[in-house]
Order: sequence, then C-alpha cells, then structure tokens
Amino acid sequence: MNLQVSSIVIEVGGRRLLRAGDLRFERGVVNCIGGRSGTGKTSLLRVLIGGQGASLAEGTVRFQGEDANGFRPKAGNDIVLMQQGAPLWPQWTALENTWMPWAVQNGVYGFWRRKRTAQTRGAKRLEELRLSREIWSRSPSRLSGGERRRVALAAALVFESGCLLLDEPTANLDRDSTEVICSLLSRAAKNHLIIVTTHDPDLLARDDGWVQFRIEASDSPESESQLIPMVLT
Amino acid sequence: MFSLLDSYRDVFRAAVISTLWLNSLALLFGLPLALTLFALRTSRIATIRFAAAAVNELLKGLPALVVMFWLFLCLPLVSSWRVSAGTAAIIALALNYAVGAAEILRSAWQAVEPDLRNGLGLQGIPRFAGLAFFEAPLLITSAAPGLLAQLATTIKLSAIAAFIGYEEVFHATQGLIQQTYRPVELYTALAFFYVALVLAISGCEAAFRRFRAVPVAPDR
Repeated sequence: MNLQVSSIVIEVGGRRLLRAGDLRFERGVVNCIGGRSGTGKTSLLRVLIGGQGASLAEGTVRFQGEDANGFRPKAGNDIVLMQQGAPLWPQWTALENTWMPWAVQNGVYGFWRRKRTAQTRGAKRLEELRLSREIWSRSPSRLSGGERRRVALAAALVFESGCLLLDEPTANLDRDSTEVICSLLSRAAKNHLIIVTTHDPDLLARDDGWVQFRIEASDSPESESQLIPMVLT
Repeated sequence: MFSLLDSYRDVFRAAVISTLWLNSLALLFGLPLALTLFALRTSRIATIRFAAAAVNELLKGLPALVVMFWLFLCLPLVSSWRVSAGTAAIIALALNYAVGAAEILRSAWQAVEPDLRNGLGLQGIPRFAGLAFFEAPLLITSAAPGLLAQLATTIKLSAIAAFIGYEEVFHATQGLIQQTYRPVELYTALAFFYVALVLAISGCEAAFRRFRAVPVAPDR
C-alpha cells in the first residue's frame, strides 16, 4: 500500500497554494505532515482523496501505483478522510456516529446487511480509544472537544480502509488522550497507510515509526508553499 | 358553574371533531406544500430558488383571514367556482402553515455544518443513502419543534373559520352564547380547549425529543 505524488501543484480558488516534488507515503509508518495554518495541509488531503475545494494544477498522484488524477472515493474504495474539526451528526449518539457512515456506504440495502457488524466495529473502536460506555449514548453536543475528535477518529477507523487521511486528529486533546491516539495510529500503521496533518509539537517531534514531512511557507504571498520530507535529528 | 357544558355536550363534541378535522386537513395539505417550497428554495438552480422565494414572500404577506374571505366570497364572483366554507378555511390555513413551515425547514437546513454534508461524499456514501440516513433525519430532528409550534399557531388561528360560518369550536361557542347569555363559562371553556390542545402538541414535542435520545447500541 503506497501513495505517491510527483511534481504536484495544488490550486485553491485559482491560487497556486502548495507544490511538492516526488514524495512517497508508505504503509508501516505514520506519515506526519506539519506546517503553519493556511499553507495547504487540508488542501493536500482533499486532493489526495479527490474531494471538493482543492484541485491538482500540475503533476500526478498515484495510489497503489495507479494514476489517481480525477480519483473520486466510491463505496468500497479504500481511502477515508477524518475532517478537521471532527464534524459529527447531531441527531445521532456518539456510538451511532461511529458505525452509521460505514454501514450506509453501500447504500440503503447494504445498510441492513452491514448494520450488526458496523455496530460491533463502532463499539470496538470506541473501546480502543478509551471512551467509556457512558459516553457512547451521548449526543455530540454533550461531548467535549477531545471526545468529539476521538469519536470522529473511531468513525474513520471503522471503515478499516487501506488508507486513512487524518486532518489534525489530536487538536484540542490533552496529553494523555494524544498519547492514546498516537499509539493507536502507530499500531494501525502496520495495516494501513496513514497520513496525518498536525500543528501539535508532540506529534511533530515523534520519530518512533513516524516519518515527518513539513510544509514550508513561501516568503511571498504570490508563490506557493512547499512540501518536503524532514529528517529529525 | 360549568354544568352548562354538560347540557351541550353533543354540540361541543361535534364542534371539537370539526376543529380537529379542519386542522388535520390543513396539516395534511400544508406539510407537503411546505416541503415543496423548501426543496425549491434550496434548489441548485438560481431561477427556481428566486421563483420559490417570490411565491413564499407573496404568501407570507397574505393574511389567512383575507385568503379565506377571498376564496369564499370573491372567487364565486369572478369565476364559476364555488368554494365551501370548510374548503376555503383548509386552503387558507394550509397556505399559512406551509409558508411558516418552509421557513423553519430552510433554517434547520442552513444550520447543518457544510463539513457534515461534504463528509458524506468524502466517505463514499451514495447521495440517496446520505439523504435518507443523515440529512433527512437531521432535518426532521431539528425542524420538528418549530413545525409543532407552527401547528399550534395554526390551531389557534383556525378560529377564524367561524367568520365564514364553518361549524368549528369557536363558531359553536358563539352560537351557544347567543342562546344562553353565559359568555364567562363558555369562553373560559373554549380557552381551556385551545390550551389543552396546544399542551398536547407540546407533549408530542417532548416525547419526540425523548425518543430521539434513545441510543442504538450494538446487540450483545
């Protein structure tokens, strides 16, 4: 499992925001991208998953060696994005928010086939993320920022996708919760390709099975930021 | 004091049934109309959005009483169509309910975080399944209290049907007052009736909220 970018330039609203040379994101490690706000971290993830809001102006993205330009996630595709801010559906409980998206991924009929498995998977992920059962039945409005983020992460993990893109998964979390998530990601990296964007200095300093990348902001607003690999010393 | 009500029990029963029937039909026609207006007002096509907004504003500006009188008294004068008192009242109340309900639905829709909707596409969830399992339940959950409050307003407004002779509870009360000259008991009873009906609707709203709080836990 790998994801490769070659000489890409990412455009947002007609503005060239970010460029990168030849980079390869591998399974087995957590690929961690750091950078200041507005340098294009979220846009990069959106381009990788083929979502709205950002586009590839130049270069190629290869997923498993196949050209992923114009790639769009479809039911059954093995890539999933946990969005920044961890949005959760307010009408569903924390537990329902974890299993419903995967259960519904194959449409209305697929939902009834997957429901029970999805519920079990959701509960398992919440347990792994050390969210107590008392929290499972809470509505998102009654969750703290950290709990919301862990529920959103559990929802992303329920997909058991080959590739997980996580946009700032540890923002607003205390150190203990951050550690829980980091060790879970390190374990999950054995079976998944994981790309994480973050501001968190704790994550940016990790080297135990984490590969660091940085987005360096350009000096002038007209030129784009640059994504580069980083060797921690 | 209220023994008078017992004497006219049958008259009241018929009037209450008539009032409930009138409001049920207003809701039956008003809700689909509200959903249609809402769907058109949130259309991706600007022309449709603009046309729906224009219709909505026009209907919002029309008092239900004027619509009812116009349908009942003026329509037969300018065309060959005759509209019964009941039909005129149902149309006026349904239009009134639909305009308010469409606005409530639109507000509830606009309150949904854009990231939630974008997330459906990013997770590969098909459009219809996303609508059925995520967007529609959210819309219903967030709009239900407002829609029930709008229904309570419509029920109170339905007393205007008495002005064109529709035999609902206010009309029956006025008739009895003319016969018995006992307005205190009868208007007080009428007030209790409306309050009880509105309280029942509030109870439905509370029950709905409680029902939604039940978690769907995995089978063990």
